[in-house]
Amino acid sequence: MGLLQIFDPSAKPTPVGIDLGTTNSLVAWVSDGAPTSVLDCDDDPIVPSVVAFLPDGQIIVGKEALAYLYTQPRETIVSVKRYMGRGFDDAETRRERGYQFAPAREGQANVVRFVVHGREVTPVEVSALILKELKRRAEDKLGSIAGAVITVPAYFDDAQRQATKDAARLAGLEVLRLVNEPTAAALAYGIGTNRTTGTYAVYDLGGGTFDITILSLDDGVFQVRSTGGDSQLGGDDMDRAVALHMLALAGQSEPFDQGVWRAAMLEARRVKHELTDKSESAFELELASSAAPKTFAKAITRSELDALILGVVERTGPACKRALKDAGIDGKSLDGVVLVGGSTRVPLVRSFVAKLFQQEPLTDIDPDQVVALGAAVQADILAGTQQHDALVVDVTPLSLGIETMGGIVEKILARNSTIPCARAQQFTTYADGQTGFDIHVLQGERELARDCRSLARFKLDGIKPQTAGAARLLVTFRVDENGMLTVAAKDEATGKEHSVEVKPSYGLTDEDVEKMLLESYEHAEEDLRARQLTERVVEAEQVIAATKKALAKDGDLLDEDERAELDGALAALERAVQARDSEGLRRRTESLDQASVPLAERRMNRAMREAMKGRSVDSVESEVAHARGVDSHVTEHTARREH
Amino acid sequence: MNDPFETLGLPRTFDIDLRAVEQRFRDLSRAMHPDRFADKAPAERRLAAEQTVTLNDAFRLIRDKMNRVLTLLAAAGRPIHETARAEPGLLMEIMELREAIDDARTDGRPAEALQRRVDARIDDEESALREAFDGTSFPPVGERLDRAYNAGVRLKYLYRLRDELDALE
Repeated sequence: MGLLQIFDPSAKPTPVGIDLGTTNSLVAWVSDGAPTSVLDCDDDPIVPSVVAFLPDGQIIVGKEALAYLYTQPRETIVSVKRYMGRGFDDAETRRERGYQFAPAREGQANVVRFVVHGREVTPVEVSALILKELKRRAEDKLGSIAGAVITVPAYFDDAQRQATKDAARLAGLEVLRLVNEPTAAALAYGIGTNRTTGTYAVYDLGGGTFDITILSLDDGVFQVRSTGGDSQLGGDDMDRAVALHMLALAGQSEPFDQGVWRAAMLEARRVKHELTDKSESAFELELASSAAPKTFAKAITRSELDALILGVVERTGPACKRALKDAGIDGKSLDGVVLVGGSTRVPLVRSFVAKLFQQEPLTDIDPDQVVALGAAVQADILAGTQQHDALVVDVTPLSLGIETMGGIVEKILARNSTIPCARAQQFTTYADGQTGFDIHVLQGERELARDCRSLARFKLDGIKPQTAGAARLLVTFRVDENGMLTVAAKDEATGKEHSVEVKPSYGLTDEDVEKMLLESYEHAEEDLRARQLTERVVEAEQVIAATKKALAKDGDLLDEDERAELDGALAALERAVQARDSEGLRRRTESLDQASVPLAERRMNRAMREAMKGRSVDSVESEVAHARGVDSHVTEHTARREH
Repeated sequence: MNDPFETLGLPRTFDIDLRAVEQRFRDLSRAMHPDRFADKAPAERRLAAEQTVTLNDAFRLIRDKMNRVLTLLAAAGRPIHETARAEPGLLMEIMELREAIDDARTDGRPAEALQRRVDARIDDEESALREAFDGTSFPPVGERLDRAYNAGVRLKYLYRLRDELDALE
């Protein structure tokens, strides 16, 4: 690597892909069509997802933070991803040894809070620190960066995704998209190995999460058929099993000393890594005692390790079987099984996967880097640089439903629905004079609300008091391209949009994040205003360029008046850019947006007609018999509502 | 509401060539998915997102058989409402089959004979739909439509039963 890097100030900012992992994080970008990880000065792409808070207020992220695990285990946060979008009362929070958590307080958002040197930090803030470090690295290498695709486990629920987005916002990163990790891996595989067709499984076992995704690849379209997993299962659980075993051998019993426990976890991981190539590994535990520190040493064999972690590995089985069934395919018919995530280096995992899918898994691309590389490809696609002609069509991992009478969940959007998707549902008042609804949205496959994950409560107020059944609201539940839910309500009689107040069950509110942003000195008020102006200028310039391009190609679709209006709006926005007038920019951008609707519609119609023409649907009369599995599967148990 | 068959540019038939439909879905996705509009004006991006929602919904409704049946009957003016019930004879038969499935589950017995029986019943009912929605003239009328409607109501129960049988393995 060169000592001095000179940036061209006029160079376009580079979009990046970020793998924000439980154990390790990476950032990558696309260089001349090839995705590449950003390396540190030791040529290492990996930033350990570890954050150490020192007593003097200093914060250390990454490799250097690892050293503090022994000296200050409570204030050195590892595997923070497992706490994202989780509440204080979650089993996962209570299970973890080694941290001090702040007690839940009335009126406060239900999030985990670590206590470090007398202050409280949330997982979102800790993740933001890791993202900032990645951003800094990328900027050192690339100059300025143009937003990021951040990967999340496919099985992350809405709260976990929102927490990830909040962390990016705190880190000052524009999120181009949240992309599911196995899908990103598939993208990297498809592009990196020139595979163009077929159906593949991606088995992604990371430090703290497990995903299985079945997808088909056809002519540049990566279409996810089904996905499943467990967002609380990974290499950490193997380490925990091994650490508990080692401590038991050393005659230790719970509760363990915090430092001893952390050291045992690290030693367990080292032993696990060593047993990938060796059949036996020696370990040493420092057992702190008030009298005198002593050391315990012994060895663990591969078969002992296998016995200890078998339970963890087997827990991935049912999700794989269900995903195969949802996709209507069996393991041996797959064209390949791709291994992703550091934990898939464990020999027992490989043999388990080979047996389950009845074929040898593929490992052509480094399982630690493949997700970040795929994220970089997607970032490049979303930035419109079009170095790759690929399209990702993903699904929602969990069913979405609302609580109805008696705590029963009514499914609104089934799992494995292709995103973006939306479903509208009509709500009617059931009492005279009723002025509001409280809609409880849940995620999960179970029938009772208490067995599903509570997502949020949506409050619709201000309905004019009428007799029961007279007020009708059409509520649209929409899952966007990030796999995240939005809810909109419309009064059916007036057609007026109705405001919806969101109360997330887990996670920070918008105001919380806003406050955190303001608290960090880098975002003092003037700063915010300057940033807003810059953002508006950038946005306006993008809209101007896009509109001019569209006009050059399809200007013939507009009549004279429409053309004149659009040209006028364009000129007005260009003037606002010159004047750098923040409010004017906002208004003119909006006017241009309005004026460009006719052109947008006609261009879209033209594009669709061409797509339909491209290929004719032959032999519609003959049903493909073997496709029955896919075909008959998604039968919904709730009848469709008319709307 | 948009007609899902129209969205995908397909004739309104009960039998579909799933591969061809998927191909069409991918072609249309390629043309209108929001990711393809990342560098376009906001109005186009919004439109792309809306169209994709419609496309995805159409694909969902056509790919799955029960949804396809409901869609076809609704388009033909004979929607199956949530409250629709099959005739007592079928309900008895369903109850009997469900008990047999429960027994098979508790005994851990393979349910091949049951599976064959349910499949045969489904084939029977599907033939009425196949005939009513064969792509020649739409909508079907008179007895053809009545038969299709009744078959649709029965299939609601029978498909669910088959899902339960599939879950036995």
